[in-house]
Amino acid sequence: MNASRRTTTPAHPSRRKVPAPVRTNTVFMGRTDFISTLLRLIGVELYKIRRRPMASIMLAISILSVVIVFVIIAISSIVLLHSGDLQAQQLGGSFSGALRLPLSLNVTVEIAEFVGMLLMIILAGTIVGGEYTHGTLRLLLTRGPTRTQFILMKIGALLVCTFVGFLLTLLIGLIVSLLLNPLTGIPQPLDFLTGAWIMHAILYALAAMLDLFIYAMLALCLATSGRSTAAGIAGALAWALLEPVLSNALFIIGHISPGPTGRFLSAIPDYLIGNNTGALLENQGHYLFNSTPATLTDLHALLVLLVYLAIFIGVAWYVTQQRDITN
Amino acid sequence: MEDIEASSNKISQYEDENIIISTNRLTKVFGKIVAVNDLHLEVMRGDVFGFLGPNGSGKTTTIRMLLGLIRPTAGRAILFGMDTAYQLPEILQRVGAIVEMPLFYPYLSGLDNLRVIAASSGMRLGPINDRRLEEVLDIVELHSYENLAYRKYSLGMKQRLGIAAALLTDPELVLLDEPTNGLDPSGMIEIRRLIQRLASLGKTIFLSSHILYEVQQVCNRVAILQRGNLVVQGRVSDLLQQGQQIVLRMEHEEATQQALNALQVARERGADWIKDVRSELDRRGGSILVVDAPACHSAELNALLARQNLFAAEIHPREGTLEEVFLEATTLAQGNHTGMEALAEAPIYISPSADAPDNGKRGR
Repeated sequence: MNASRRTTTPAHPSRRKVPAPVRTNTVFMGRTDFISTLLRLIGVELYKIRRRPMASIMLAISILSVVIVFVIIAISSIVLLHSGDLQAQQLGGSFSGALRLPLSLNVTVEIAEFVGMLLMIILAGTIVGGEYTHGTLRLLLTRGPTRTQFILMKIGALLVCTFVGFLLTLLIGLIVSLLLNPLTGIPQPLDFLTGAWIMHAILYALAAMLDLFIYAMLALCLATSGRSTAAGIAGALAWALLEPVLSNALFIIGHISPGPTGRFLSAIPDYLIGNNTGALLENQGHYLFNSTPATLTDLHALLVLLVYLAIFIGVAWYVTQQRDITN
Repeated sequence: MEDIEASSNKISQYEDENIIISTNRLTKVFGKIVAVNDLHLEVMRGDVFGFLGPNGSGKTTTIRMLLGLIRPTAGRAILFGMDTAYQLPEILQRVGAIVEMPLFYPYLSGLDNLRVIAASSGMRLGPINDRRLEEVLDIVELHSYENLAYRKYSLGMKQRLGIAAALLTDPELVLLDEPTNGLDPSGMIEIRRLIQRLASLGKTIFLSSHILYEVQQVCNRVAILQRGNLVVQGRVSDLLQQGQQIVLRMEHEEATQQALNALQVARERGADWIKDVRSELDRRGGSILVVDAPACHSAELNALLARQNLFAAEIHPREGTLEEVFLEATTLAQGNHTGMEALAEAPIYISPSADAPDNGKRGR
């Protein structure tokens, strides 16, 4: 066998593009530019999310949480308002304020933010880490999308989920509170409703969505780096839950410790995610509910949060770009 | 003169347009392990190209490099004349692939998985492509299970769904990495038939496998990898021809011995088409003579013996098998060279003239 073999080097690879034959007439290809492909991929990702029972359960949990809280507030208020004790009636009156705008907006956003943060972390960890856990990343990347489009597809889908999920929860919360308020017998005041108030309310909602989105990006970054759902969810939840503890601990230690070390430690919380998203909400809350504004400015908070977003998305993108897709 | 140049350019362009896969010094190193070493492959339009090698020889790594899943440490992979390093999305629009075990979203049905893959492959969203989905489901005979969740699929159904996904966009090139893994014999036959059907439609098939019989049945060209090095590349028919033998049965033991001596003498005296001759026992324990020579020399062999008054009771050619070619190539590669570097110095190719591509004449 060896005798008839000849050692030759194959021809140098061609640089001339081979023309593509016509596909069968039952295949309808879409546009192939970057944006059209990305939009199609986001549509695919949302389709996948919609087909997961988990997505409906999560939305139901978010909406039910708001409804249950308002129902509890309504029942407590009614009981207090109908008690014979004047003090209890006063307490009931102020308590029932949570069922009326503008305070009902505050209550709804706080619930949506807390529950939404947990759910967005779970969703982000699942849809990103799941591609590694199920091995479907390989399938996706052999079909044409670039790695950048893959990351942008996930970000786009999470952005849509944050927006839709939050708005649905907010609307349902406000509607439920408005429906329950007449039971207290206290009318809904409308004197606060000005153009400026509505604009601040929109900014308030956007700040809350930004908060959810940043934690979703944290989960995306950790799920990508750790190549698993568990890494994304556990890592981001640990961060979200430990951050307030760390913030308080640093603040206290900083104020106890004298000198530059103390000042440095007490300044660190100003650069944590939670304090900055909190600052954005508090600053809008000052216009909406006459609450105390945050010590941090909107500009400071936005810059810090943008840096976090850039880091989370940048790391996820870089890792995805560099990684060999093996088993 | 200008006419000759123009005509030669046309031929060169024609050849270029028919090179579907071409790798140039393709190398992948994982830490200290050289998974693929200096690989030169050439797959022509319409080929059913078998990519053989033992487990861990670098087949899947090569496929992953062709699909852009892993980046080569050195060298280039050119598909349809485009470099995978720069034009991957454009290339992948023309490729359908299964890499190892096909994996899909377990919570989606087979049909939903195909919808997701269709849109990810650049097909338009919505019902406009429903007919195509039905077509591919029909091809792999999964229509009745289209709404069943993927996690409930059997191994064979998963493989078939993988093939359906690979065929969705009606690609020119289908890369199949061990498509019959885990399938029962009937499933394997089904997949083999499917590959033959695709080949008859003019698709170029790149089939990675370690099931040699399967490759021999469906492929027209093969390449054999051993420890990341290409040891053989060529037409299956040419490779099998090199392993051809002629089997002789004489009337009795004495005649067998005389024939053996006569053939050995003939070989020494210049019958160089006889590469080797030896006596063996057949299944029934009878003596036979096995002559390593092309079947076309059967008559000459018979005449040579007749001149010595020796007459064969039976004479027939024995076709070589890909298994023998594979074993010889891989053993040779192991025996002759202990180091990978040494292997890389002497890749063995079948002569290009013997290995002339079909240039798209098959199928289509």
